[in-house]
Amino acid sequence: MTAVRISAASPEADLRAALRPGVSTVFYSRAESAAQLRAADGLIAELERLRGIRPGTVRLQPLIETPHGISRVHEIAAASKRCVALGLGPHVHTQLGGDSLAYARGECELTAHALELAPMHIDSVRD
Amino acid sequence: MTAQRVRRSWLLIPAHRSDLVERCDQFDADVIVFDVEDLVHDARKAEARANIRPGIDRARRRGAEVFVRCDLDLLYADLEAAVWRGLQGIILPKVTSVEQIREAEDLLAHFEAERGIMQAGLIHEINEFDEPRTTANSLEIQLSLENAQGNHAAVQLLESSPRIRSVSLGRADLVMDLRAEPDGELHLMPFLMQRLIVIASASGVTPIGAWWQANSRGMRASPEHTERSARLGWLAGFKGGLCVEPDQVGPMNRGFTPSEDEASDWAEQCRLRDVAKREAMAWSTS
Repeated sequence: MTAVRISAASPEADLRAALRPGVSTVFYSRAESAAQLRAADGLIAELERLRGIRPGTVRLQPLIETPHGISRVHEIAAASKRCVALGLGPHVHTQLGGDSLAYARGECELTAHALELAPMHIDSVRD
Repeated sequence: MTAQRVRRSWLLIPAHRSDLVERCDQFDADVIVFDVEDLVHDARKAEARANIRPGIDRARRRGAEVFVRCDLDLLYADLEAAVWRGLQGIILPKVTSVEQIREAEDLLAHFEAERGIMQAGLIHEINEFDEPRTTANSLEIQLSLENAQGNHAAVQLLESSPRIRSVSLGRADLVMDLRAEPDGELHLMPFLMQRLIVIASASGVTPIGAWWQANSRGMRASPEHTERSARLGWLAGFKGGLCVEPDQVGPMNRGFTPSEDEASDWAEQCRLRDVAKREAMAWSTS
């Protein structure tokens, strides 16, 4: 299983470059809106078709890492059927700490349960 | 309309098996079917697709016709890899709706136009590539009806496109969809085979299948079982059958060739086909 993490700054270029047969999961870093996820979902569907990947099999996991992301976590997570797990990403540590981090973590976990997604928390990414 | 082609043996080759693809011209099949569907694991689809184009050239060297069995879910990528000069058509498995056939037609038309592909002629046939495109020289489709829904909608599906010129049953998948009897046999199979012959004749397409019976293990049957199934299939009205083992090809060809005393136009066509294949073999080895 191979996962790729794409940047919210260049999701389309990243997906076109990275989504090949064999990639099972796409992490969307700094996700902040449902529209971002819907756009990525549509592009993944198109690339699945063109590149011979079984339709609907690539997962799309938003990484909640910013205050905007936390405030809209429910709509972000509900935006794509490809989303099966939800949680904070490593970048959150540069934005939040202490009580607000605890709140963000709780908010994500609660939303994950509400939408029947697997709670997840990626603390760090190895360079 | 051109005369019906003699296609007695349809040998399915998993396209990722390079060892088989490289030898596919030696199996004497009337039709080589490169499979990129159920016989190929998802992880090996890319390899399988890449083998199709050289495989087509290899198969045609000794006079076989070439089809590709595609996955409905992966149609764009499969057809992008398959539509090259020398291909006769595709097999669409597990079809249940007219929309799926439309999608395949659109993609075939797209790649035909983009690449200048027409249905290839057989040996001795003159093929003019500046002829206008017609139904007869466009790539054709064989429908494989592998579930209850597809069999139920068979007439509608068969009549939905002029590209559809043959039809077969997917026995293994039918067993999964319709539930086999405790002995492993599908009691609906004789009914479905006879029904297929009636529907195909009524719709003007060729029914493909052998009269597989209990314990003959279908496409993997022994050569003896295969010849008996082919013979019974011929008598029931089928014009050829699919198989997956190279040693089933000879029995298929024999079973679907009428004997001397039932001499007919079809017997003559079968004889000409065998002569053409032998001549192609002689040229390619000389």
